[in-house]
Amino acid sequence: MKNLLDLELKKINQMLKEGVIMPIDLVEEFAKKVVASDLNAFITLNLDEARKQARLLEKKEVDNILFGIPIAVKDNIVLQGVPTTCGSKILENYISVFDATVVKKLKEKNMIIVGKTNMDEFAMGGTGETSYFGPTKNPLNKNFSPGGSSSGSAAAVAGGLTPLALGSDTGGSIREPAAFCGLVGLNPTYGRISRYGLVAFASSLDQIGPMSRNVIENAHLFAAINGPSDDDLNTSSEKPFSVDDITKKEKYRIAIPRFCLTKIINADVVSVFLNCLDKIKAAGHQVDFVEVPFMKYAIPLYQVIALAEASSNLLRFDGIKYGYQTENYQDYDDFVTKTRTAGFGTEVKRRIMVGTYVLSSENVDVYYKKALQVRRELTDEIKAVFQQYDLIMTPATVSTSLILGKKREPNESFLQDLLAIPFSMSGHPSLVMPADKIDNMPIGVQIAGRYYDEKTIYAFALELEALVRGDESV
Amino acid sequence: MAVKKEKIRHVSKLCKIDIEDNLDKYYQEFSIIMESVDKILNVDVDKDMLITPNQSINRFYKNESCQNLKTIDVKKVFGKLEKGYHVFKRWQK
Amino acid sequence: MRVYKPTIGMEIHAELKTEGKMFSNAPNCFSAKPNINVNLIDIALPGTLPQLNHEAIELALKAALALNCKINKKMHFDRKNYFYLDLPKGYQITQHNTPIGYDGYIEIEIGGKRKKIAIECVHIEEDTCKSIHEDDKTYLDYNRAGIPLIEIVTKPVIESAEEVKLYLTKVREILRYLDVSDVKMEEGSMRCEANVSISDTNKLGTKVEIKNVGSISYVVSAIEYETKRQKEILSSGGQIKSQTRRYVENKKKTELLREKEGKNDYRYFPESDLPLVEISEEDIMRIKEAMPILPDQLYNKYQQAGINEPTIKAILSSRELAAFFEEIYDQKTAPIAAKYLVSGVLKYLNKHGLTLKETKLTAKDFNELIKQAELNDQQIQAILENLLLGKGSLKENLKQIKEGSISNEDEILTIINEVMAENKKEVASYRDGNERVLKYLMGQIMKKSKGKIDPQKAHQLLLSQLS
Repeated sequence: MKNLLDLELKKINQMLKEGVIMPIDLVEEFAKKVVASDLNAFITLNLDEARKQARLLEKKEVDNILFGIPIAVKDNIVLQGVPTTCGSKILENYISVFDATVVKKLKEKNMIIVGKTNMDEFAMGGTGETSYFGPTKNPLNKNFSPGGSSSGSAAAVAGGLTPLALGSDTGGSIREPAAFCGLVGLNPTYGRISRYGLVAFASSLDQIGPMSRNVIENAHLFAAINGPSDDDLNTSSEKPFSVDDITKKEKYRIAIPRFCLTKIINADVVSVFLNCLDKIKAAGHQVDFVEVPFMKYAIPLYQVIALAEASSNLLRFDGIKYGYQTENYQDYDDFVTKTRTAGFGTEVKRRIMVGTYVLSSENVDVYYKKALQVRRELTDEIKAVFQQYDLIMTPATVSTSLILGKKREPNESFLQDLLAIPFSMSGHPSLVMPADKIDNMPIGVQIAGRYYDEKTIYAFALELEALVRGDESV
Repeated sequence: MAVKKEKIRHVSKLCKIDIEDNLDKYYQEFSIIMESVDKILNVDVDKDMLITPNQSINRFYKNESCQNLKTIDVKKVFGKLEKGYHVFKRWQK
Repeated sequence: MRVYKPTIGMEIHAELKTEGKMFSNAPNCFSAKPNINVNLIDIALPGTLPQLNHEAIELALKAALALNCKINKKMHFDRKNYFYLDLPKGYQITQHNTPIGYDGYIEIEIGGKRKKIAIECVHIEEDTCKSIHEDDKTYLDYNRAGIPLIEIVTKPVIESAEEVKLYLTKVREILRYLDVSDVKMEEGSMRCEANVSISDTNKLGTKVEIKNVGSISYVVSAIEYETKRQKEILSSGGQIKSQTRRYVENKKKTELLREKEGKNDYRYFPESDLPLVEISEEDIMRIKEAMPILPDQLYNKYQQAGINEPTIKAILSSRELAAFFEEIYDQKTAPIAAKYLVSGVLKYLNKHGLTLKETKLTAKDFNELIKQAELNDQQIQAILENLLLGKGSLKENLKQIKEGSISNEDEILTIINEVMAENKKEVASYRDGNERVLKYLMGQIMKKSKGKIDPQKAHQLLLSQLS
């Protein structure tokens, strides 16, 4: 089997330009690889359409680095004419009649969408195990979870099926799987990328983002999909990011919340992180510990805000308009109840109930409104750090990859996101990239930046990537 | 705040999820999550709510109606229509 | 005997006259065909996000200002969550915490006294889809889903069915004048709900809600019935239950729709898919300045110009007519213009069941016509009818009248002499000093000439012939 898809994008691009290979070669290689794979990374393959598109591209000029590149898209992002299941029984047979804005942008760049990736049901989970379509395996060790909820996207890239994938992140759903699969994943500034066509989990937290094998390819994909759009009124009119904006700085001022050293974080993870900081310091950058006291509320904050919003966003799945419908019922109430009870999985139902509970009239002030106040306080704290520092760094996750098939406590699915959630709450961009390995499983670090300052994150991440590799030249 | 079983039953009705068969299991798991959630109950903050992170503001500008009015063929979504209507059968005969 | 006093709060829903829907860019227009004006957002397809219609905000702002409300200069939208067949998203986007207008009022006149009806708030929301239940089937039409509405909520301050009637009429008149809504209750573009309670103390009694009543007179009748019903229950020692009731038109009574056991919990919370909306002082000023004069103000203005009351009322009965009148309004010509507007135009419209827009009459022509001093009443009415029908331009009509008119002095004298010969008794009477017969003789002359003589000229010549 040829291994074109394992090459760097730059190399593939060059070969496409020289006519040594055609887009169809990439699609066929993907098709072979995916059939041979037992990762369960995809819920739906889009091969016929991908082949058709690859053939059409043969008549076009190779005009950008993403041209003809196969990409995997998380199955909560809609693609016209193809099922969008969100990893749920309730949408098992739902076919979208429109393209998400990011999908349109991928098509504008002549990328080829080869399939829809497996995920935790409605993006609720951190291991991929809540998917109605079964768990996804970690390509680095198939006994492990690739993380979640963008499990299939992470597995597709880490498993060499596609060079790039789109995921979505509400409280770590891109970053945690990126960490567990040794990938680069970005959760952009809130409002950078149109959410139109992303099936909503928690509207004020959800973001679509790129997943890739390295930093620069991540930046290329981010550049292709970011920018304001009329269809999502929360997108910012800020100048869109372009790869040319990345400029290297001599010295970065980096803040480390002291909370990162809390006992909750696995000792191995902390030691990898501290080791990484030593390299950064040695390269001449300023690294200081700072206090961000409200970080400790990340998980309850997320449980209130994300689940409250989810309980409302998932009301539309009543079986009346689309999706799974129950067959035996007595009246409208019975129909909806039976449809939802059978259509949603346990994790989703539990989360909907918690969200409903915290929004109920007797609780909305003590939980929900309080959470929005705490959210502002945490945001203000993070903003204050960015007044003096270019970047904030933390470990990416609480532990290393998780073994598949273990029984998990209800709070466990939230725990890994302890350090990712604060930046989802404040809307700051943050990127996860691999720092080292323990027992052959990767450990990631998280780099957060100021609003709309992804370029500084990328610039530093490029340098860190080289440091981790042990390049002499940096 | 301790959650009562009755309350969970009520909540499940609001979100139309039937939990009767697994009430004890749901009750237990729900309670565990609420224990974690309760950590924000006593946080001392006195700030405005933050609704979205960028709290984007849309300046109301002058009389501008929705641009490019668009419609879709509803039949494509629902598959079939009856006399132009989407039909729900309220009970089965 | 105990005296039970009713306390009533009203909720009015009015559809806004916008081009597009509130949170989607599907058209907002009436269609008899179902599911025509629908887009992806209206049927809540997964992945869709709401849009925001600024035209609707503008109209809501107008209404809130006309209802003397304070304005929330920074507002957000909220979600009201509940399941129903007609609610595609499972929540309605509305304004719970920051209604566009609050603390307003309007004045009504009752028993010769003015009374302020306090308005709690005016908020923007979206309509649900239309559902028709037939046997075991529910037919869903998403045309209505997402149409912008304003809801106007009073405080519980209304004390009688008569006050409700005056209040509703007044609000309807205001909304019609502002051109923010069609306010047609029969078509559902205005809908009312009444909350009625009665009590013999200062404490409010148990509230009963009466939903979606089809016309103002039905609302009055429903409230009268409901007040009576509640009095009877309390007088016989019973208790009022918190209920939602509906009005049954042919029975002229209210019937139980459902008991309100345990309030529905709508879990209101801020809609984070939509940005905050900021309304500036300049926006408020701009809208205030561009706002049409409201009926109350017009009434005073017309009265001062010397127009009589029935005429004023007739003009103000139609927003279109009043707007037309305002377009050509000039204090000097106002009484004469008002007269022709009512005796000519309105009469014609009523007779043929037309609106002004459906005729060919322009304000400019009308204004020019009534200023034609040489035309008599009959001629003006005749031309007016031609203009309404679109028979010839004003210029052509005037030309025709002039050509048809007898301007030759000899011809006029011939007619005058004929009339004098036919009415010798009256001529003699005039010459004896009875000047009143002059009017009679003039009438005969105009009749004989079929109105083709300029009356002023004829009057002059008649005087000289008589002397």
